[in-house]
Amino acid sequence: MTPADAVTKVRDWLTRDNLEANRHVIEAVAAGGWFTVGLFAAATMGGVLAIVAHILLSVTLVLYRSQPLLSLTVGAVGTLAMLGSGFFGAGGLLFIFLPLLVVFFGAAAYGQPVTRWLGLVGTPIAALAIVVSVFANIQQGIGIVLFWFVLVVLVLAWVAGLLVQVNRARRAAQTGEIRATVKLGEVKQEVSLEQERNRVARDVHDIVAHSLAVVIAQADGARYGAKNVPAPVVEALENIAMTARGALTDVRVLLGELRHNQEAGPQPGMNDLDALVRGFRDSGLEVEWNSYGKAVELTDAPALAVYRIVQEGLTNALRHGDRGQPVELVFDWGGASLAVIVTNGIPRGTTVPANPAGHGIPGMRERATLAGGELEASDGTNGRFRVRATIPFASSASVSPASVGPVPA
Amino acid sequence: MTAGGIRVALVDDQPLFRGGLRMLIDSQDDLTVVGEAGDGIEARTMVREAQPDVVLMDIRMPVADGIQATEWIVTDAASAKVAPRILVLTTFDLDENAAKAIRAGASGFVLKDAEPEFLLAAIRTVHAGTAVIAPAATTELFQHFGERAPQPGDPDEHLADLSAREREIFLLAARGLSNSEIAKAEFVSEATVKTHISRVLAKLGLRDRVQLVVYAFERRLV
Repeated sequence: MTPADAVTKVRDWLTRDNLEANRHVIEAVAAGGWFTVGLFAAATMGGVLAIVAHILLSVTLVLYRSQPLLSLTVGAVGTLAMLGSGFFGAGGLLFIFLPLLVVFFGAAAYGQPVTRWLGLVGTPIAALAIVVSVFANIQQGIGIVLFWFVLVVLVLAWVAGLLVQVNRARRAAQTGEIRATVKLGEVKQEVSLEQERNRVARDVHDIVAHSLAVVIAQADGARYGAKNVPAPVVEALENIAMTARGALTDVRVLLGELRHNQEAGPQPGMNDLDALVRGFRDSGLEVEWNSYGKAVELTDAPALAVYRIVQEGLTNALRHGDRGQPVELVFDWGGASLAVIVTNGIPRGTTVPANPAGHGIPGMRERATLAGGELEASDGTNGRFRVRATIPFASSASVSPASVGPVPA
Repeated sequence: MTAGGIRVALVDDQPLFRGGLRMLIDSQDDLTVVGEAGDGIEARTMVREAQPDVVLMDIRMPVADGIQATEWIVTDAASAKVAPRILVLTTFDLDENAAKAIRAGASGFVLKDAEPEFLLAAIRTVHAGTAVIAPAATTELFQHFGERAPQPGDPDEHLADLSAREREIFLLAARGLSNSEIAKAEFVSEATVKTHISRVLAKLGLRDRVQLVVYAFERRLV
């Protein structure tokens, strides 16, 4: 490996993510290096207390992020030890105080509010200690200037920490807000599903209770009235059968609704499209379904997207479209992706709202995007509303068109 | 139909349900269906014209429900000499609407799927006014949907106008005992009990002995 290669390698490694991930190691190495270099200075210029002070101040480099209050305390003790070492006026000792910048930064950036403000209060004390200890033998006037200079530097470190803290709080609030919005949506959906289930359950009970009350009344009545001439038995039996049959039909319709809403079981795909379109035709929607090009077998995700887009598009047509005109459903397999186009007439006198959120367009677009495609909706200016989705073929294996062929209109 | 038969009216929005009840009731020698109605407004008119002794009243009906109809019928009957007794038909055991109907003046409630013998007995009992039908179920109903005094009530305060004998009979009736049961317990004739009960109801301003049960329950006299 040439030196150039090594430089390239190091440069490639120096990404934000790598730095983030290995932050603790990097900091520990830096602190260790700092400590080793400073130890010589303390040992040669200071004494035992200066060495102790240097050790304490170096420890703050490890603590400033995870234990800002402890770091602040240790820094204060280290500074006191430095003052107590009795070695004043050694300019090189300024070096030993540099970790205090990190301490004040850490107190503002990572501390609780108490730690943060304690840090700010600590800055003039630290500045005084530094000036007294390092520049003991200078004129008072210069000392005052130096004091203000050191103080400004320390406060700037504190302010930098404060900015980091504010920025992080803002980001956390944003994340929290997004999470809350998502959660709210989920809860709302859950609640509406639950309400729907309860409604169906209540309806089922009402139907069963009402019809069984009739069945019981008719059966008891016929039993007790059997001695009359003519006996009302045949008519009662007819009523019982008719009531029971009606109730069964009603319950079936309701349970069908429930199934439709919950959609338990496997996700629908291309093979379910026939049944889907047939269902819409049974509901009275005229659907002209045409397919161009050679059909390609889609994997599950795009197949589901196609199914949902067709379902939503036809539902829109049924709800909001002009029922007098047929709905055109086109599958175009000719390009590099499948184009699904649903076109329906707009009733005269109505316009397509600028943001048709209620028409399921966002949901359809989401479906298309999830499958790697896109969706566009027309503004309906020519009296026709058109939705066009393009869904890329996930797998290009060609299959016989029969498996996904359209039902001729 | 005998001359002294009980005249019954049916109020329910399901004609087939009424038809079944009609067959059942008409099969009894002492009972006759004299009118039917499909909603609360029809019921009011029908009761005025057919003058039934007992009305079987469904609660959930279109136009005007059974509670409203019960109120109307009770108000209309206030001026008449004989008021019809109202039996509410419910789907659930614990139907808040049944409690509301009893407050509005109904004499009791019966489940729609009750055994025919129970329903027929209920009609006769309510007409005779000699007992409360299903006193336990009635008490339970008011336990759920009524308002009960937090402390046991003081009989001297609530029953001040009653004589000692009347108080005894009140408390027995409040526990759901029939006239014959009270007669046995108190060693008096049923006729005496009946007289006492009517006097108690009059003194307390109660319309019916089911209201006596509710009155005692709510004031925690029993």
